[in-house]
Order: sequence, then structure tokens, then C-alpha cells
Amino acid sequence: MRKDLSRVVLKGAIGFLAGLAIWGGLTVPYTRLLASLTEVAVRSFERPAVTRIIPDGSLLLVDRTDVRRTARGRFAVESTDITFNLIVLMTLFAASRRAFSDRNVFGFAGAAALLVLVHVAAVISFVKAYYALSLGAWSAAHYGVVARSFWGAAPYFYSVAGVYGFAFALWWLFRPMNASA
Amino acid sequence: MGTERPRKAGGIFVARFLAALVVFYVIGALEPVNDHFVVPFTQLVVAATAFLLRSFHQQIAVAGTIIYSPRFALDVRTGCNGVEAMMVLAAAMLAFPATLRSRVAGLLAGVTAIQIINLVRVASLVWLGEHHRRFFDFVHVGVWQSLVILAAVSMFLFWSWKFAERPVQSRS
Repeated sequence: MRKDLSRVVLKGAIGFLAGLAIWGGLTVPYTRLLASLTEVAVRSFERPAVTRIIPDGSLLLVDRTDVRRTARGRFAVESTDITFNLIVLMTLFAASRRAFSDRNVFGFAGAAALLVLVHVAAVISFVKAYYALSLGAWSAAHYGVVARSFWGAAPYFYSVAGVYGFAFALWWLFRPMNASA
Repeated sequence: MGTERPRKAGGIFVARFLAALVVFYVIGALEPVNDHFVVPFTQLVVAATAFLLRSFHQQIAVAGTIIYSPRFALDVRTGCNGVEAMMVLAAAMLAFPATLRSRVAGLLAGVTAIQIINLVRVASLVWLGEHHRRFFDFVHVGVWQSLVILAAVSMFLFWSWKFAERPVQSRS
């Protein structure tokens, strides 16, 4: 048992370091991808489509072409705070009994693909929270009490619990059934 | 066919887990709970961290949830106080079929372990902010947030594997 456990811990540690390297190394290009996907998603529900999401390093800068920018400047979302759960997902899959088995690799691919959608949804929640709560009279005119409460809570839920919970849930759903970790 | 039932059970577990997580989040976000539990608890975490750092001869001052060293200050909030990992652990243990006794025992042991790990996290971040500021953000977000949650997940897996007593099911 001790041998099994140390093997799981070793594989998990390797997965963690690999996840950390990939996450750190791909943050900037992934932020660009996230900006494009989120902009398409937000604009597809807008009439007229006015939202612009501009990647800047690890930041996602949010603009509306119909609202004048305030002296405080642009609203920005830090993408690393949203995406670091990739490290958790990689570690959990790497700690699996047969890490490079087809089922584990395909399971990881499926979970990672869904995690991208989770990240897009998380960025949308930050953008909508900004629209619902931070644009003064414009926010009050376009968002009701329920919508303001919902969008106010959604990004906070993601930051406090969802960012961890979704990674764990995706691993649980996509891991091979006989996984040891 | 053979994996149909475990997949369904996995789906039910995940649905219960996420529902419990939402409930814990809502409870934690309520103003009275935040003011009378989360904030005092965070102040306790900060005081314990200050005690730990002072024992290593670090010059540390505390004001509420903020911990100061001569060249760095850290405001400990939800997300850095271990409450998030406690929520994930509690939601997973609640979603997993087990007796109340083993859930309570697992939760007490798990919460204690999470807080010990979190103490090391906050202390190391203060030290890092003071001495190696350029590594702070990377270690804060990438390393420690992942490690604390992986510790919580590992505790849940170990508990579910070794200690969770299955409730007796009635036959009908």
C-alpha cells in the first residue's frame, strides 16, 4: 500500500509541475483564445453587438463601444485567477494508476475541453457583473434587481468555490473508473 | 454496459457535490455569517500566521485581516483563509454516501489538516512578498491555491477509500 501511495504522490507531483509549466507558459496565448471565445459568446447575445474583449498579457480588457470610458479606465479581468484550475486537473489525471492509458488520456482531453467552456463562462460572469453593477445609471436601466444579484454573485462564486469545484467535478466525471487517485 | 452504473453514480455524486458547494457558498456569503464567522475566522488565521512568523524572528504586525512585515503587507481574504478548501472538502464528503459519524470525523480531521497547510501557505507568502516579491503572484495563484485544493481533494479521496462507512441500505 505504501509503495502504491508513494507512486501516486510521485506521479501527482510530476503532473503538478507539468501543469504549472504549461499553465505558466501558455497563459498569454490562452488569454488571447479566451478573449476571442468570450467576445464571440457575449456578442452573440447582444443587439447591437458592442462588447470588445482585448487581451493584454494575462489581462482581459473589457470595452463597450456604446458606453464612454470613465476616467478610471477599462475594466480588466486577470485570466490567471480563472485558469489556474488546469493545474489541479492535470495533477489529478497524472496521479491516475495508468496515466498514459487511452482512457485516461482521452478522459483528460474531454475534461480539459469542458474546462475551456467553464473558463469562458467564468469570464462572461465577470463581464456581466461589470455591466450589471459598475456602469451607474446605465446598469440600473438595463439590469433588474434579480439580474444584478445573480451577476453580482456569479463571479464571486467562481472565485471562491467554483474554480476548484469544477476542476474536481470534471476529473471525477472523466477519470477512468478504476483510477486509484 | 459494465461502466453504465458507475458513470451514473459518478454523475449523481457530481450533481450533489456542486449543489452542496452552491449551498455552502450562499451560506458563507450571507452578511451575518461573513461578519460573525468568516471575518473572525480569517483574523484567527492571520494571528496564527503572525505567531508562526514571529517565532522565526520575523518583524510582523497585524491589523484585522492584514498582516504587515517591514516591506510587505498581505490582506488575507476568503480564498486565502482555507475556507474555500474546507467548502470543497465538506461538499465532497456530504455528496459521498457515508454515515454521519464518519463524515463528522473526516471533516474534523480534514479541516484541521487544511488549516495547518494554510498556515504554512500564508506564512510562506508573507516571507516571499518580503524577500522575493517577483515570484509572489506566480506562487500565490499557481502553486499554493492549487496545492491547498489538491490537499483537500487528496484528503477526501483517502477518507472515501479508507474511512467512509457506508450507510446501511434497506432492502425492499
